[in-house]
Amino acid sequence: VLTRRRFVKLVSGGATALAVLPQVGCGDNLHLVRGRFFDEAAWQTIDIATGLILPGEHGARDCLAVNYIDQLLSAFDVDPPAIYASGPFSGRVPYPDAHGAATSQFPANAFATFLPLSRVKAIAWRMRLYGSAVTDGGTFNDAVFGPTIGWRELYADGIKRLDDQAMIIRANTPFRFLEDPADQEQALDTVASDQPDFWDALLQHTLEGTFGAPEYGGNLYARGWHMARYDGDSAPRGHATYDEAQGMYVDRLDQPTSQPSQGDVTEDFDADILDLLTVAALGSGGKRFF
Amino acid sequence: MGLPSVTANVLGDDSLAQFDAIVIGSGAGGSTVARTLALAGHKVLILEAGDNYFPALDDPAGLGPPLFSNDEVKLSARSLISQDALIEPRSFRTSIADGERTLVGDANGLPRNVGGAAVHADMKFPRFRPTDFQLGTLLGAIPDASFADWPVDYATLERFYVEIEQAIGVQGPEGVNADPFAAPKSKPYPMPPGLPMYANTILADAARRLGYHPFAYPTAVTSRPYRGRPACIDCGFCSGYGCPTHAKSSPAVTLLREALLTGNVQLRFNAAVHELVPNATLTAVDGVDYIAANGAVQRVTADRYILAASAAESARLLLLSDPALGNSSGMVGRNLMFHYQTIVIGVLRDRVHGHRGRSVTMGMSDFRGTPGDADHPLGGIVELATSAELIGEAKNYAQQLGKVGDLLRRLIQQSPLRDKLVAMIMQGEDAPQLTNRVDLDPALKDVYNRPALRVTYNNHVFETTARELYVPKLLEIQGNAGAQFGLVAPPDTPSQSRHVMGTLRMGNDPATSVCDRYGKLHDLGNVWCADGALFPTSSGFNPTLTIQALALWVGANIVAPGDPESVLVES
Repeated sequence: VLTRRRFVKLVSGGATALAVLPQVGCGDNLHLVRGRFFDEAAWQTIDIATGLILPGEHGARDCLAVNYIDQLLSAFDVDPPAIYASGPFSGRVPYPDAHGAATSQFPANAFATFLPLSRVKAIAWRMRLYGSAVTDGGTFNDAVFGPTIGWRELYADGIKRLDDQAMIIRANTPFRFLEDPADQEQALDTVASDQPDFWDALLQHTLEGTFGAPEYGGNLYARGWHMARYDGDSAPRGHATYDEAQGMYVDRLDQPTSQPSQGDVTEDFDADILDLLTVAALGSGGKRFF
Repeated sequence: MGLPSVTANVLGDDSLAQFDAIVIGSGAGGSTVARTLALAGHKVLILEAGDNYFPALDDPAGLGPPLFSNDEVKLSARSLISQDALIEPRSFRTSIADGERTLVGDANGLPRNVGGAAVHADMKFPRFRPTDFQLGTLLGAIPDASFADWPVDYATLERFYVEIEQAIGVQGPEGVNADPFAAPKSKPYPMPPGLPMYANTILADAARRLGYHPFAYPTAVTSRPYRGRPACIDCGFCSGYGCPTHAKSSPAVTLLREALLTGNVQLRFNAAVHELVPNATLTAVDGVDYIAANGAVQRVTADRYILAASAAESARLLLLSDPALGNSSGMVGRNLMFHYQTIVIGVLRDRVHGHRGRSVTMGMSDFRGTPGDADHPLGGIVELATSAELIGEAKNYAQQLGKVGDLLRRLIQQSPLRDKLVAMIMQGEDAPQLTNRVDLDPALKDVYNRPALRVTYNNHVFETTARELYVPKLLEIQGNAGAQFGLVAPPDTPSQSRHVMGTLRMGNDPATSVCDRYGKLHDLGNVWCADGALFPTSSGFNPTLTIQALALWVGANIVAPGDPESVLVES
């Protein structure tokens, strides 16, 4: 089965250098909400940064990725910690009838509650969030391999660095008050280079907050899934049903597993992506077939 | 007897206090051997390092819903069941010449939870072929490799394969639809194949046009209601995910539940075994120390001890206990094998929705090859695969390619590496080598303060030669399937395979093997192994079914020495 790390090695083998940071996204309102970890200034800073990473309609800001990040960083403020949503179903999808059609019966949303953590899992997540040095039972490798820096510290420092960079570009102007998108990009680009651990965390959390289940605080109204043309969670209906009366499996009509989706058409990649794929294919020892 | 258990971190009969056997690990091997012993009336204690996500697994009134779900954040981004490299890191190097290590983190870790790694697997369940048990003889001496015959052959294990296929529920093709190169079976699969995924049929059609023989992949997932579990709904969250409906015939909801309901089994989870306690002469084990859920060390004893913690971890446990334990041959930890995975990806112009279905529904074994035939070297079964994870896709573009902003958005929307991707993954034979091994890292620790496991592994020209021969053929299939691009994944270092085998090789000669043909350690009177550590060679087929058939063989020989088939009920 394909894992993410396999893709990594596959495509990065022929990839070009890091892209220049893009235009600012949709530029919608700052969310005047105070987070559990982020204060208002921090919230606005991270919100803008997520929009630079994944801009546009139904992008990271529309999905409230910043709220996902805030909920993650403050996961231990609630009990059980908000790390692993429960299961099995979210309640977004109904039960099927005997022939696979949707019924009007929906399961309860088990994703709305979180699972208790075992002792060692709690240590792991406290190490991730708070760092190994302040986690009971978390220093077992620090003496030889150095401490694990927690994400809360990374974000707090990253936000400060963004403001520092912003004020180098525009005097007395914190990052969140930069008006020129080029200034925002320049500041974020510099911090990305100087603070790779923060940048890596911000990237992964922005994407999880855009495309993860909404119960984790992002992907507001499942906008990220809509943007990506992704079905989201599908159980308990799924994509096929064994119809006992017919003695055979039947595809779900609107989201089949064994056939093309109705309405799907052949799509060309744009020129930038064709170039990227060409480099990746030829660089890997593969082929471009046209 | 108390079922279900009302004690925290315990499943099964929580009143049991004396045990005939202690099984370390509740996965494919551990569940199977525990069920065999329990059905014969043995009192069994299972120790599982991970947590439990099947809250009603021991409830006679019904299995109840699991805690798994269609949730990429939970199962993938936050690794609910995967080995967490922050608290259970491993180290890696390709050889001693690398120094102590070149990498700290994840090196072939397997999930930690009740039911073991099979919970995360998509449960592709082909059998091995008869020749896979005879490669020592058929290949002859190969420099720097240690191929060996298995001390049991296919004919001996055939009814054990049947027993597992029937007991857990496997779907698969028969007759003209089956793999024409597959081993003979004495009994049909209990269920026919479910629907194939669209992405798989595109590749299968191309392969067929080129003269190959694709087939519906034998899979331990229901395609009909089976023994109280529902037919699969093809939710799409299969590989890497616990099943939200119990359609996946994982050991937990099949053999382990059956074992627990006998009343002869107690399973303690969040119970990480620290070491085996040997006697003074290192000829037997007197007890097992484990770290309980609350962090306290507890000792338990039994007449027999069975290692089933996975290939790498079972060997590590011996080394943690005493480097000489069971190790007069010096073979403990050696001959570590993975499947050598050759991956060729096609990017189409059409969407194939690889997030709908059982991850892999078709395969072909045309590239398995023939022992000793240089024109048809031993590769392995080819999975016709797809890509399903949206967050994973986005991270690849952003974190690895450095694409953010508008280009990231366009990549996600045009989706070349998910919704338009078809892949072929060959699970190639990995030559066993004495230098490929697991041992203990001299400095790295885990959260239990145990020395971490170190993997030393490098490829042999045996498997790289096969790869070079089959890559052009895989690319040809991608081109025939209408791919715009064909991409060849470079070999992984360290291997990303979760098919971990070897380290406690079974054999007839105590000088060159750790366990005998019944899985018992040559050196120890009361210790057995019942997991993939026993494999002398890796074959070119997914290992879980053979792990279970072998664990059943081990258990049956404990229960009925000399007449192991007498314990079989399905064949």
